[in-house]
Amino acid sequence: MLPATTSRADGALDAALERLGGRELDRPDTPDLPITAVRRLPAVTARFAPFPDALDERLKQALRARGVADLYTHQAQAIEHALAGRHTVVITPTASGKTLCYNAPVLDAILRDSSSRALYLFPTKALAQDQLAELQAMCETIASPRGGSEGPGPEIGAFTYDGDTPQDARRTIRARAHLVLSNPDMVHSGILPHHPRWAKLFENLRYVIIDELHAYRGVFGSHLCNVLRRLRRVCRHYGSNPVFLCSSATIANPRELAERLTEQPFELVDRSGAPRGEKFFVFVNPPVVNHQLGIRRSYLGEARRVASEFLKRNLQLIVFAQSRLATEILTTYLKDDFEATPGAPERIRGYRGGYLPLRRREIEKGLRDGLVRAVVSTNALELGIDIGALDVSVMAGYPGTIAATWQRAGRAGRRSGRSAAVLVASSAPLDQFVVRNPSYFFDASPERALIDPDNLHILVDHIKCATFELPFTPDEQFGRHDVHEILGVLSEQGLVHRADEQAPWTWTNESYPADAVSLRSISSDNFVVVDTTRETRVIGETDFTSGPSTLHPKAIYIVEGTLYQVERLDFDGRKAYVREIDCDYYTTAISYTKVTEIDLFAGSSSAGAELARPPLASKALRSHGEVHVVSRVVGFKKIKFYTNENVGSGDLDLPEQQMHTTSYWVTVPPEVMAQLPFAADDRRDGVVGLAFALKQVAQLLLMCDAHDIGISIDSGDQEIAAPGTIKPVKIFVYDNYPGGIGFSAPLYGMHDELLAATRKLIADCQCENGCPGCVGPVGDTGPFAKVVSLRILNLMLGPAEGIQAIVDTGEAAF
Amino acid sequence: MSTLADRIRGIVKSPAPCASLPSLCDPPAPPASPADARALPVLERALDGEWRDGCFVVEHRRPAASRHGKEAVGQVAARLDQTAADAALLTHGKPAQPPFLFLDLETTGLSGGAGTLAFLVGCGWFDGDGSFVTRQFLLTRFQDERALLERVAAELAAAGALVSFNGKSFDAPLLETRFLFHRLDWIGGRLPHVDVLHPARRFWKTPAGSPEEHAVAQPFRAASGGCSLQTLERQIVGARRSGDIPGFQIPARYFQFVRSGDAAPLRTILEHNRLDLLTLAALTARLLHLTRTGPDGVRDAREALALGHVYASAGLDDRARGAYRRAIDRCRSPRGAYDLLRIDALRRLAYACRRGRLFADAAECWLELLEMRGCPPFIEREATAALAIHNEHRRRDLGAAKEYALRTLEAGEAPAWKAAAQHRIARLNRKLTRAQESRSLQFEA
Repeated sequence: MLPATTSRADGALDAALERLGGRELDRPDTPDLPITAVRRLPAVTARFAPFPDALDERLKQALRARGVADLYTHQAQAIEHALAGRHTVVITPTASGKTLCYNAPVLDAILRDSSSRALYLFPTKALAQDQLAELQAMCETIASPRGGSEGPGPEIGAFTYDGDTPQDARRTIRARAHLVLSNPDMVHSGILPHHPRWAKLFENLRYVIIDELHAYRGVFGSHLCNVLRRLRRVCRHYGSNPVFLCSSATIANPRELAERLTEQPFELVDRSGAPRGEKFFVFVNPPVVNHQLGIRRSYLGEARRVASEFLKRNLQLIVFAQSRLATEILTTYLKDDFEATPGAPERIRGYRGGYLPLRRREIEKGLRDGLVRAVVSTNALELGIDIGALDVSVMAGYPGTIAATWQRAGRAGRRSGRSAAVLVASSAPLDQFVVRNPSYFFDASPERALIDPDNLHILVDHIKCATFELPFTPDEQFGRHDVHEILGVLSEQGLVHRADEQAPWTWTNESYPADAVSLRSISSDNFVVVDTTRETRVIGETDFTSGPSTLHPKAIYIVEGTLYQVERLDFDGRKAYVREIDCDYYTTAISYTKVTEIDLFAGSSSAGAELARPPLASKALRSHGEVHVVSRVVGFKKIKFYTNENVGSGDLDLPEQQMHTTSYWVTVPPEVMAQLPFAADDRRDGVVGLAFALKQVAQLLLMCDAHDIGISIDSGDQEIAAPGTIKPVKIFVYDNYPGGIGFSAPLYGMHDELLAATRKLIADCQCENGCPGCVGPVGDTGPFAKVVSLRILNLMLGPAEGIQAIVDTGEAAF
Repeated sequence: MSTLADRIRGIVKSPAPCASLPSLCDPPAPPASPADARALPVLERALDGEWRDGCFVVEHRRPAASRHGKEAVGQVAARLDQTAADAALLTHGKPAQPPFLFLDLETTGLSGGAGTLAFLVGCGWFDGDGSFVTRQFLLTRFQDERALLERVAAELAAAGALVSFNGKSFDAPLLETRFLFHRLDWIGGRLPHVDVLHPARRFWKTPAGSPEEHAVAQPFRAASGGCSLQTLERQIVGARRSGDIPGFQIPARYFQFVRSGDAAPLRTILEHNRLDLLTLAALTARLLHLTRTGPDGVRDAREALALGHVYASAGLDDRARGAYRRAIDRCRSPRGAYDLLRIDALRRLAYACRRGRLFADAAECWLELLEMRGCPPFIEREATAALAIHNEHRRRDLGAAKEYALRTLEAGEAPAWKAAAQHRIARLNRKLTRAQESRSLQFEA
């Protein structure tokens, strides 16, 4: 039973949900129906707390003048921690007033002592711009004379400082900014190496604000940790010790992430006091149209249908698409449906990176004013850009992580009144797993954000930068490894020097080391893409690792919808020469990867795996360690747009790429392989299918992107295998970055969960013999991939209830 | 299983090594470097210097009688003494009084930032007897930098003005960064600063692409582009160096000393720095002499033009016009022939005349520019626009004004100019119509 409707908008929302079939509450989850789950998140009333006594009176007045009479409990809590000098991380939903949690203590410090300074870090320049407007408005309120006795308040300077800041403005900003809004990249290459010019900031740095903390995971997070190590060294040099205030979307380990990034103890504020209206969350799975191939109806078409139901009823909504292309397609669809007269104000807008700032501001304002009724966006609007609160959030495709899904869902929802979030799953394995296992999303804790700041590649680069900034004293530490041993190796290269054991290490090279380090990748080595269609110009770049697979000769390279074909790859010169082309296909590379174990950190050794073990005792052998990965692109396929047909292929002869990294691997014991009643080829297909599914699930559990991890199978020399000499098969899931980025140890820890979830993904899939949603398309992995992979998992894990039936069906087919 | 050090070696020797010039450095010395450079009397002997308050100082004196290029050091001193009062001409009119301190740094790199050090701070001045004294502060180890900067600050405190070559863009900001690094007060910010590079470039820069420039092409101090101190030393001062170290090798040579403790290779750098200081002093004296003597002292049209510019930017329009006129007279090309120098001089003279309200003179210049064969379009636009204004407002010849405005439109695409010209034509048309109407009214009356 739904509560009585309270307003017209609520009524419209109910009607739309009813039409979609998502209004029925207390229904069980139904993985096989188009609506797989409906959840109602009850309304929450606000919990208020008074302003902390310690807060400066002028600040309280300014806040009241701006309509803030009371604080929400989480704001009061966070502010109290900050005022007491405790590092604090706040996790609260979208639109719960988190900015006040850090702006209040910062402004308080400046009002008390005008020499105080604060540094704000945002993951993108756009976010800094957005926050600047809010901060400046606040500063103006403080500076404006308040009626009567008192004169004008103090002037507080807030400025952004990033790559877009004009050179001639930089000196002024260094001198006048109380609040510097920047990003980690700028701090790394523009501020820290020039710290003497910023002496005033570093001497008086009271607070460092890290917004959108959850964005700093993987490589970017590992770099940021090192940037913060450098920042704290510089602060020590100038005698300051700033307090870190962080805000994060919901992730499993906000405190751990904050503590790892800053290497400081943190207070966690995770109970929001902000009110929230009732919200419905609906999972939609487009119906299957071809059972054999497991093909579902287009999720974009389904998203369009869902969005239309809300738009028809004049509800304001945001639609999230997974790519720029999908954004443009959906925008076109919805415009066709709802924009009647040309020339009338545009009610449907697209929004993505690549639009000019002015246009973006206009769309954001249109959303706040209600003139824009629907916006179709990439993840560009996922982070905290202010667009007001909307009625509905429709996600076309699973955003990839639980955290991002909640962020996007949070874009809909007012403080009172009803809202809805609808997730429309695509046929990608991750989407299918989530939409068919709603409790995984609703009940499990969200992902853990992982970083590995002591990855040697990253660490060494930052030690160079740190030495450039300040000499290393003999007793100084930097990270987990022995910094002096590392500096010793750098001194062999002539980069640093110390006169003796008691002397500091100094930078003894002409270069500016920060220029050679990009925070968004591990190695600065990359390929540039040169367009030769008309005059020669550089149109893009690709990191070294993915260069051969995306820029091989005849590859199709896509920039903003324009297609280019690679004519020549200059591997040693790191250049790909491309020319515009008009074609209806794209290419995917076929690569061959071989992983060799170098060092075992934990688990069964390779020798041990071949020893006879008691049957049915945990046969799934898990390991993790250091590996050597050799990969080579050997060919490519041409795939037709829209239909995804394979329309041709070619062979390639490219140099090998090698790297040392860390890997998790699962060993399928020979006795398991021996028990499979299938031919050798089919057994191999089963392993390939298992690996395909394993990767998808690993990606899900690790909160990482598809290219962050790689997969490789080592099946020994099965060709010569006679009965009784079957070798163990190993499936490696390796960190796709030199030196590893910290995924293998957590995967090792989640081994059981990983295998169980993989089995569930494959077993629950409705396709007959394999599809892109489980073990890969049947044409790629062979007709028995699905059944064999399930058999392998069952043998390793022992039978699970509800699984056997499907396996039996599979065997019947065999 | 590899050790940490081995793994790091694998990483740092990866295909993208740091930008360094291994071919120019000798192989790195064995790590057994001397414990403390201070303990080595070798340093004193090798560089002929001494320790003063924790800072290694090398002091030198070039006697007045010794020659530097065409002149004796004493002559330079005397000339500088006579003309010092004009130094303000080179600082856009800001006061700059003697005693002058000539300043030149040798640094560990060009990129700036906290990791770039001034390992040698060279100071120079003329003594009462006409000899040139240099005092060079050498950083032998990082821990002594603070002491060095304190000594340098004391040196600066005694000066009336700083004189440098490109120091406003390079040496001063770099030193300021070092002072800020150590939380010391940067006294240089309050001192008048004469940067000789900019006037020198006007007077003597070799046109790009000339053989002379290729001969001296230097990757070091690209900012001076074709007008390096060494080029000017040869061409203007007339001095020759032998055994000098090219600027771009200096950081590597210094690092070699830091690692090996062997100071001998630094000798060349110290000598290089001393010569730079003396040449800087000679150039300053030459510049001030030119500005004092005025157009009569110039060697060619180019110097006259530069002189005009120096006067103009110091606000001396009267003298500037004289210099520009001299520049035009000294141009070897006949009137009407294409000559970039003549174009520049005429144009600057036109603006200087307008500032002095000598409108007819300005118009003369613009007319001459328009007569020139191959006059660049932007000059043509400026000239026709100026003549349109002149004819509309001063000569009140609306027909001629309109003709010039139409020519502005023809002189190529430039939106801002185009809009202004169209606006002017529209106004002139209105005025012309009105004038016609009133004429016909008079006629009817």
